[in-house]
Amino acid sequence: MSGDSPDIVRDTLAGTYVLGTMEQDERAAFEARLAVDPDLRGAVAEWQRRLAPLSALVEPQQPPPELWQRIAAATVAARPAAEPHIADFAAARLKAQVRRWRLASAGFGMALAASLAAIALFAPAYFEARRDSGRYVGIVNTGGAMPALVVSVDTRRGELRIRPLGLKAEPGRSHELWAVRGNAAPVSLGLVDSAGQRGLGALPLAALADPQLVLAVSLEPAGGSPTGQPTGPVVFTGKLIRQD
Amino acid sequence: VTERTVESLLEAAALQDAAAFRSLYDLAVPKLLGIASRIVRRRDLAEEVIQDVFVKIWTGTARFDRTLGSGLAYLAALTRNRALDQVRRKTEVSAEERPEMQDLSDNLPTPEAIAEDRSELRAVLACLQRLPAGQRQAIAAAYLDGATGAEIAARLAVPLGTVKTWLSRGLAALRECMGR
Repeated sequence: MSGDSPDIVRDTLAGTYVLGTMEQDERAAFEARLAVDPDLRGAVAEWQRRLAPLSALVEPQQPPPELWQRIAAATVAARPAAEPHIADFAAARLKAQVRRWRLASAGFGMALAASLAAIALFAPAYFEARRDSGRYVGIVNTGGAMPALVVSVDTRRGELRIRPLGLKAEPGRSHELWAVRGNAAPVSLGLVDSAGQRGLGALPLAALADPQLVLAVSLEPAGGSPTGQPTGPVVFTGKLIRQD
Repeated sequence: VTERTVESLLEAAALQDAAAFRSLYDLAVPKLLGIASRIVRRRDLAEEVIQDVFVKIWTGTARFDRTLGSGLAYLAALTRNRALDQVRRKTEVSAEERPEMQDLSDNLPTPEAIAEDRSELRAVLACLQRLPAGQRQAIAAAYLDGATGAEIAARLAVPLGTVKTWLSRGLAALRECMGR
């Protein structure tokens, strides 16, 4: 291998970036390239992997308890009691997560994926306490700032609570909520045009813990699907997350 | 949460698994805080770095990819990057606030001084040991202390150009030695 092959130059550049010894403008230019060059990202990751063991030489430091509190506050930003804040929080994260979530839900079916209006993935993140509550919350999003729907589940009571937020009523049609797991037939969780509380229907409690579980809202004839399966377009989807 | 790997905790945290997020924090923060403190040299700034890193993990702004390496290497890289941003942005204060910069890392332990089961660390140290002293010191100071080229040059009393050459040559030799 010759001393200065393009490969070596590129690799050395990646190493210099990882060390952090580039000049500021050089670093910014490199990062711009990094964003569009997967091979370069690979070279950077290699250097991170090679050098990471050196971090073992650094003395660990115990964080003060306030550090966790600050992180918890920064990540929660709002509690589920305050929907507008939830909406802000969800919206901030939406863009970053839509793509990933689409991939995760690919098994859900191409036809459905093509008809998705938007996807949201959200947990209101109670960090402290509430461990025993067995509560789940899902936000079914429209992709705008306001979630379409908030669905919360209390497993101890076997109860589902629906709060429509940005959901627009369609004359002569009903919005129906479905729980979908893999390729199994969707299970109806009832109509969601108005707020209310209900049981879990045919959905087994254990299904709530399934990370593959997806919530979807389809537009059905007034009164709900006549067949027991979604017949209209899926207009929103979301994911149910356990509240810890 | 029992015996979960950093990798699985990272993935779960990015999906807003709050318990996994907390476990990841407990598991990784002492080490990460050490890494950040050594670079930014101020406790409050180091804590800011950790906060930024964890918010990025939670929001999915920073995304972990298993195929690119271990979870700990990823976390260390995120932390170093953020810490470097932090000190580079505050260059006007850092010169005064980093008196310890006088004492750059130039006394790395020998691989023999490291426990045998820490083979990865031993391997890097063995390769670093084979480098000329200047190259080794420059790389260690940059990686561990977040020193800039100029800081290394001042410390080792050589021109900046020399430091840059040392870093490039040292990296090339290190890569060769570590075999990919």
